[in-house]
Formats: sequence, C-alpha cells, structure tokens
Amino acid sequence: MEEDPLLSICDLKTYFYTYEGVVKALEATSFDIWKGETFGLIGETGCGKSVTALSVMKLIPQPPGKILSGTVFFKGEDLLKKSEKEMQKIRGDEISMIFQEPMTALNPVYSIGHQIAEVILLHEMFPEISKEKTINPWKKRKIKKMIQKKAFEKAIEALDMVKISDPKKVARQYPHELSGGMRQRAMIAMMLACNPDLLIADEPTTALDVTVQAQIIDLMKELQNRKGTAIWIITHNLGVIAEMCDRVGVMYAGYIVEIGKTEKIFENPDHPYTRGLLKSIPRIMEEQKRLDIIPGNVPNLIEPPEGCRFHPRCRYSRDICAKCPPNLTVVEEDHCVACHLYEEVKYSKVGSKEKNDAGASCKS
Amino acid sequence: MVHLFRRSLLSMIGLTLIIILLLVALFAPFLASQHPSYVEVSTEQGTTRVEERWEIHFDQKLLPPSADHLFGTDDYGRDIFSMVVYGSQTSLRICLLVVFIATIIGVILGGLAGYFGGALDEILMRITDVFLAIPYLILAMAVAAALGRSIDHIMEAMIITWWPTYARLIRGQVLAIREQQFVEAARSVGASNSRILFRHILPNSFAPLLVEITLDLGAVLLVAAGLSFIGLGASPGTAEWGLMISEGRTVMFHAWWYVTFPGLAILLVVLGFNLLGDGLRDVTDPKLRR
Repeated sequence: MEEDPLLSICDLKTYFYTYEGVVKALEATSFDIWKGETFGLIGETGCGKSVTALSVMKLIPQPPGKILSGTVFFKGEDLLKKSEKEMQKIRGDEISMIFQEPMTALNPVYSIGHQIAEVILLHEMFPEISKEKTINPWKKRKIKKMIQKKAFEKAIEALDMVKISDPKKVARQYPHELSGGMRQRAMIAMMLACNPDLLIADEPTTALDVTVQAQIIDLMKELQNRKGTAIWIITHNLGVIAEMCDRVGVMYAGYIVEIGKTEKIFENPDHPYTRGLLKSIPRIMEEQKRLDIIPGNVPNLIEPPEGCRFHPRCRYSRDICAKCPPNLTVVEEDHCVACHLYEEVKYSKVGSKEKNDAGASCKS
Repeated sequence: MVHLFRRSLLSMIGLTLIIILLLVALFAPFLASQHPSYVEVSTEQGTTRVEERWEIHFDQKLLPPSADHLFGTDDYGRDIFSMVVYGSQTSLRICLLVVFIATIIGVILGGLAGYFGGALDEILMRITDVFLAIPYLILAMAVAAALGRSIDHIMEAMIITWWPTYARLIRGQVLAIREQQFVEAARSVGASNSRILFRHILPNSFAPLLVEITLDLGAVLLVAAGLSFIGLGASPGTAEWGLMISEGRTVMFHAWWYVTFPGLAILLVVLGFNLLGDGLRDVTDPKLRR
C-alpha cells in the first residue's frame, strides 16, 4: 500500500455550460485509489459522484461539459492529457465501468455473448488481426471468423465466472430475456472480461432488489479477491459501503468533505454532513421516534453558496464558513475532513498517505 | 413478432401480393408468350443506351382477351400479358434502386448528423431542407428536358428528392437512441465512434426505417408510373405500366383491356406494399398494437 496509488485524482474541476448557467459540478475533487482496494464514494443525488467517474473515463459529454483543470493520474500517466484514441484503448481494458441500470445498459439487438465478445475483440483480438498480413480477403475472413468464435467462447467463460448457470444458453439470449440481476451479472462479466485494473461501479445495486443486491456485492467481492481489481463504488447506499469498502469518501456539492478508512468514518464521523448522513439511517436495534434529517436540500450548483458549500444547512455554521471553503485536514491517521471546525486540530495528528490528499486540495 | 404479423389478414395479403410480384418478375421469360429484344441506340447527346423493342404484328392489333392473348393485344399487336409481366421487372428495378440508394444516402447523412450533432448536424440538416424543397415533378421534367427521356433519368431525379425523408427519420432515431445507457456503456468499454454509430445505434433504429422503406416502395412505383404516364419516363414502346396506360388512353373506349390490366398491376403492387408496410408498422410499434 505504500507505493504510488493506482488512480490519483487531483483538483479535478468539471463544469457544465448550460442555458441556465454554468453548473459547477466538480470544484476541486481530490482522492486516491490504491491497487486492489475498494473505495466507496457516497453522497446525495446530484453531488457530483457520477460526474467524477465520467470525468476520469473522459466520458463527459462535451459540450456542454468541460474538464477545466486538475490531473487524473492512472498508473503514473495523466489521463486528461490522453487523446480519444488512447482513451479508447484504456476504457474497458484497464478501467471499466458498471452502470446503474442493467435494464438499459445492454444493447437490445445483440445477444449477451456477442456483446461480451465485442469487448474482448476490441481489446485483445483486433490487434491480433491487424498483425496478420494477408491480402487474401478469403483468408482474412476465415481468420476473423475463427477469432470471433474464440472471443465468443471467452465470453461464455466470463459468464461462467460471474456464476450464471448455463452460460452457454445465456450467451445466446438477448437482454430482454434475462432478469435484472442476471443482466447486472452479465454487465459485470462484460466489464471484467479484459481483467481491468480498476472497476468503476456507478450505483451497481440501486436498481436491484435487496436479495439480488447482496448476491451482486458478494460476487464483486469474490472477483476482487481472485483478480486483485481495484473497485471504486459510487452509491448512496451506506449499507453497501459498510459491507464492501476499505476506504470511503463523502462527497457534497462537488467537494470531498470527508475521506478515510471506512470503520473510522462510520465510528467517528467528523464532518457535520457525514454525521447527518449516518443519523438518517433507521436503526433496528434502537427505539427512535423520528429520524434525524439534514435540513434543506442539495444546493443549486449553478450558484453554489460561498465558502463551505454545506454551511447553509450546517447547524455548527460560523462566520468563517460563509467566507472561505475549508481545506481537507488530517484529523487522525487515515482520516481527513474538510471543515472549519477542525482547522484548529490540524497538525495534532499526522496521517500517512492522506497527507497527499490534504496537500493536494490545500493548494486550491 | 412473426405470429402477430401472421395473425393480421391484411398484412398477409400484402405479403402475398409482393411475393407474387417477385415471382412474376423473376420468371418473366417463362410466363410471357412474347419477348422483347434489346438494341443499342445512340442518343442526341452522343452516348448510347439500351432500348427495349417489341415485335409488331399489325394483323393482330387490338384483339380482346382470349386464350392466346390472356390480356388482349395493343394497337401494334403486342401481347399485353407479356408486356405487363415484363413491366414488373421494370417497376421492381425502379422501386428497389431508388429506395435502396436513397436509404443509403439518408442513413449515412442522418446518422452522422444525429450522432455528432452540433455544427455538422446543422449543416447536413440545412442541406436536407434544400433538397426537401425540390418538387420531384419539376426536377424530373428538368432532367428529362436536359438529358432526354429515360427511366434512368427519372430514377436519378427521384433519388435526389427522396433521400431527405430517410435522413430526417434516421436523425430523429439516432438522437433518441444516442442518449440510452447502452451507448454510454459501449463507449466505456472503448468502442470507437464509428463502431458505436454503425454497430450499436443504427441496428436499433431499423424498425421504423423498414416500415418507411416498405411504404415508400409503393409510393415510388406510383410516382414512376405517373411520370411515365405524362411522358417523362420510359421511352415509347417500352413495357412500363404507366406508359402503357398513357398509350392505351386513346383507344380506351373500344379496347378496355389495354388500360385496365397495366392499371390493375399498379393497383395491386402499390396495395401490396402499403398493406405490408402497415402490417410491419403494427408489429414493430407496440403503441399501435390492438
């Protein structure tokens, strides 16, 4: 864990230029993901979780979106400086992404096997074909057919890996013939087919029912153990985070407000927003009359509040909160918070790796 | 899909009519009793073109339908049944070529405009608007006047005026499908733009395109026959349904068979394409399902 992080996002700033105004979706987002770990990103709807993921993949629709500044280092290379062609090689091969809606994320006109085979073809087989230097179109066709067959067999193996029973049959079926859980499994098979180093799962379980959610989480955990893939989970389900993640980042209105080891954040949340989030979960063991809520709504990101973006909803808000945005500060080992309440205790305890995060966002 | 289509009587009638048309066109040499010969003639512009010639039998002119001549004969003694049978080849060639080429142009331009959007969309759609503003009749007349009377020329005129419909249809489809998540998923596994457009988006937009094509085949046939009727399309003496009606007009009152059978052929084929198109629309568009 002491080597360089697999993915290092620093001061990422993404805006959307719409007719209503500039949506400041990401202001200065920084965090790292290490090799083989599971990182969770939580926050309310519209706080910029998905935008962060799409920015890393460079899939932000441009226009209206634009990545203004920041760096995204993946295996020591800045993805934001890569061309579209180079990104196409990385997507699906080294970083892949699972989408929220398994119902619509598969193309209805192709069979499951065909779609998984396509990914394998794109990243592993097509380079092979172009190596073959025959001008004979018949021979070329024959090679292509053979390779396609090989890719389809690999697709069946991938389906087997995600524990789909009778993968041979499923590979020939179309998306509408499968249930939601099966489709999400097929999606995971598709995304893991090329053994990526990082898997981004954008609300992978939100659209599924609870029992299937548990199965998918178990499956992802098991595949991670086997393949050593780093998983970055984006969700607003705290249960999923608690179940799966090594580290967690809490996001609010385009900022990371708290980041650290999962246990530390769940046991000892320091940011008022994180506390509010954790308090708003109903607890079975305790008797509670009313759930605590966080007053107000997610701010409009076209005209976000000055200073700390959480201050209008924060019960501890002070004068300074409305003036300048807080920096991520280390409160204990493996635990950083961006809140003015903790500025005083800034250097009392110094963590190890979060120093980078803190240092990175302090510049902004 | 198939069983829904089968249940609808009208679409099955349409399909039957179209299958009959295809069979007649394919086996024309075996069905007809007289056969045209093809000669090369030079045109005023100095080029050559192949023209269809039918043997003339003045002793058999304007005979009513009988066992020898099922549909009777015309004023040059040519067998109308044979001409109607060979006419199906001409008609089919016009419909298929016009619609096929117009579809290809429309799908490519509409697909690019819808997928890439922005300035390209704007430019392509304004070009489309310009072509949409050209009336096919005027263009066909202009082309016929400039290049001479020929089926090829009216086909060119029709392609030029027909593709904008497809371009708009496909653009609309692509705009809608582009926003779906599987397109984003395809992009996230590293598919290139052309791959996403041609392998993921276009196959999803084929259902409305197929309906449009089928309905248009009938419309193109009708327009082509109409242009030939007013003397812009096929050159005289050719077995073309519209032209035959035009020629039979003068003797309509004492030789009813001359105009009736080519007219019936047009009616049945256009009806066939329309019923087929409607049937396809009913099965591909769930909103119209009963």
